[in-house]
Amino acid sequence: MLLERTIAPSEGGASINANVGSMTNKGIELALRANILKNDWNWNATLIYSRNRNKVNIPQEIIRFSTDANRMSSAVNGFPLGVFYGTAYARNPDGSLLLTNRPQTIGGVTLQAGLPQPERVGRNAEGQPTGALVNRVLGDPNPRYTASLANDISWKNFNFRLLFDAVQGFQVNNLNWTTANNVGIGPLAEKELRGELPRGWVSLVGGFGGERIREEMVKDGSFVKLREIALSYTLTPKALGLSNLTLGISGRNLISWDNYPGFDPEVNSGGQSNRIRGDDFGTVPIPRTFQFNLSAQF
Amino acid sequence: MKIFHIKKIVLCGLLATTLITPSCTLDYVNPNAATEDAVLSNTSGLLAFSNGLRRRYIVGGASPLYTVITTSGLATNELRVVNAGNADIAALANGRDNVNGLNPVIVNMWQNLNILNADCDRIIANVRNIPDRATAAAVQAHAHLYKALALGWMATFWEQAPITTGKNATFSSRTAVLETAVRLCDEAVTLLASNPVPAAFTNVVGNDIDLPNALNALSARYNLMLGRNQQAFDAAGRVSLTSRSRFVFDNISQNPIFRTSFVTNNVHEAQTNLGLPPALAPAANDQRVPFYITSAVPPRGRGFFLADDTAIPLYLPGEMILIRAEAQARQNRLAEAVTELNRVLTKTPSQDIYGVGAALPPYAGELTQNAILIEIYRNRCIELYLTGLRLEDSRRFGRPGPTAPNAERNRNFYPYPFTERDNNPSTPADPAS
Repeated sequence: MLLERTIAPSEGGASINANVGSMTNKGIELALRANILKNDWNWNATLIYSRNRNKVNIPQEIIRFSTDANRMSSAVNGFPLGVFYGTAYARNPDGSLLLTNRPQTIGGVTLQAGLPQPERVGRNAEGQPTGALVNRVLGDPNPRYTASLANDISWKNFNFRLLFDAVQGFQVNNLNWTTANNVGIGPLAEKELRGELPRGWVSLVGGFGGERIREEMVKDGSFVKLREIALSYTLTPKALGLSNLTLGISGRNLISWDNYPGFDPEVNSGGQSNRIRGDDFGTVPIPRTFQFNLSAQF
Repeated sequence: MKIFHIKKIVLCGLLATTLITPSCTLDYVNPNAATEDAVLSNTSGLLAFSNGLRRRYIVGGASPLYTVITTSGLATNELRVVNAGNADIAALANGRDNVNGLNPVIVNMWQNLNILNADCDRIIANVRNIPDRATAAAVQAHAHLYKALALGWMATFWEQAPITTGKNATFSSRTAVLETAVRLCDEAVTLLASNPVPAAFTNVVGNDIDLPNALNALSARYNLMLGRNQQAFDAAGRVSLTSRSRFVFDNISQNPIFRTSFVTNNVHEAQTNLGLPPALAPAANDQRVPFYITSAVPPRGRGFFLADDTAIPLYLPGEMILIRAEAQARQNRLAEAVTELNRVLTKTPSQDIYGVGAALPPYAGELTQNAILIEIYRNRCIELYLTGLRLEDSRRFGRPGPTAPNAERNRNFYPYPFTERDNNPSTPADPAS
């Protein structure tokens, strides 16, 4: 597998294209087409389901794709290509957050104990994290499955189309989230200002009292979208040499059912990249569009 | 049917032909980029590559010029953070544990200094491919200059650094790194003494850098960092104070401090009293202050970062004089030290080629080594504001460090970037502060 990977700058460069290992893909795609109604009302439905399990096999263990640690896309041995690799919350064995146990002063402001901190390799005598920072796989932009459902219904001269897309079981590296909160305009910042979170929470998560806890940036991106809804009517006017005239209205990307706190889970600041996917930083969300169509056949 | 039959025969015939013709060897050459061999094997390639050294050093927010000034400035209070949401800049301003090997400014600085070092090595190894001796000498001396710059900055910010690049490069102590930098400068000066820089070189690479003077200036700088005071004094004495060696910018290759930070008013900016503590604050009528910062509260930076096309000097005349002052003071020649110090104190803006002049009365403080050294430190901080040198000065003069009360710097040395640590097992442990 050829990948551009970063190298030690002391080698004399920043990155190199190298054969770093191999990659396997195992998946299945099913398509089901049904002609449900066939007379006055004609209804065709198509259901597509697709699933792929990707795994990289690289002796090097970890290859980060960016020298900016906030762009977490990486190749990690045994995981799918493009997983997010970064710092995590320090946690107790039961999964709850392991909070600081003493006050600290940052930038002249004294903060009380009870704030989150990044995970480290060990625990000191007080049970607090100590040692080197732990980086681990925090999320995966590869979906568990994708599915589409298309419905075409026609009656007399009307044609109705309804298309749903579902992409489920993937995460997005939402750097917007942390940056917005850091400058005081995100939901976490709002909670802290209202007193629902202890003072200093956003600072510590955002990387102002220690390393940024990048686990906070990884958000569930699973969505079901109403991709397209279109209604058209075909006329056959015997004038102007027209054989038919179709008027239609349609809307695309109208509704997204998701739990994503950003604008749109379907964006990628890496563009059309195989390596960097699900990276949301300053990207423009896919807009809702409405169209009125008029087509004429002569 | 018959037509189909004929088409089928023709088709089969074509397929058969492709099977029996020999396969071609594929050698994809990228027509958009020169191969390394094409660049390093001839004069014009090496001259173009020499231009590339400067470009790598000065252009962009990841360049050594930007990152060195930014890091030293934030460590020593020369700069203040404008937008606290800029976590990387804020981390450098808070210093201590907030800086680790993931910080992009540190990562970029290390990366581009090492690539610059490697590029210089490539040029030096291939200078023998230039037939004209004078041009070859100029290209080699020019590469020595940039390699010395790269090594000097690495020794400023890290305890150890690789002198030669390669896979799993070994690290040398900063003393060894600085000694190499001095040696490179001195060798280049000797080389240029018998081979003056020809027009063939300056026509391509330009003459904004006066090579012999720039090399002696760096030799003086790095000798001083090594504590070799007499050699620093002598080298500084060889530098012309009326010759300009500077990095020139324009609207395409923009002044990196201005373009990346000062024009935005959103990254970092200048500091009141040039960031000096009250005991060392500049005198009210020190004319260097309005040169470097505006009178607004808080101030905006001026000096060598006024616009996209403001040139940045490689060395200031004031630096050379202050090196001589410090070298004398450290050798306990106090009267001579004060003489040199007064040359800087009394220098008016019109007497300085860059307009940096204090126009103050001569030194009137105690004639003890300690007092004179403090005054020299203070003047270095003012005269050499935002040149990237204050961190090393703060350490060398024993100013309060990161763990002391009234700390004047928030780090001593910096951690090694994760790109190095992840890929080079020889990377040393990070310093505690």
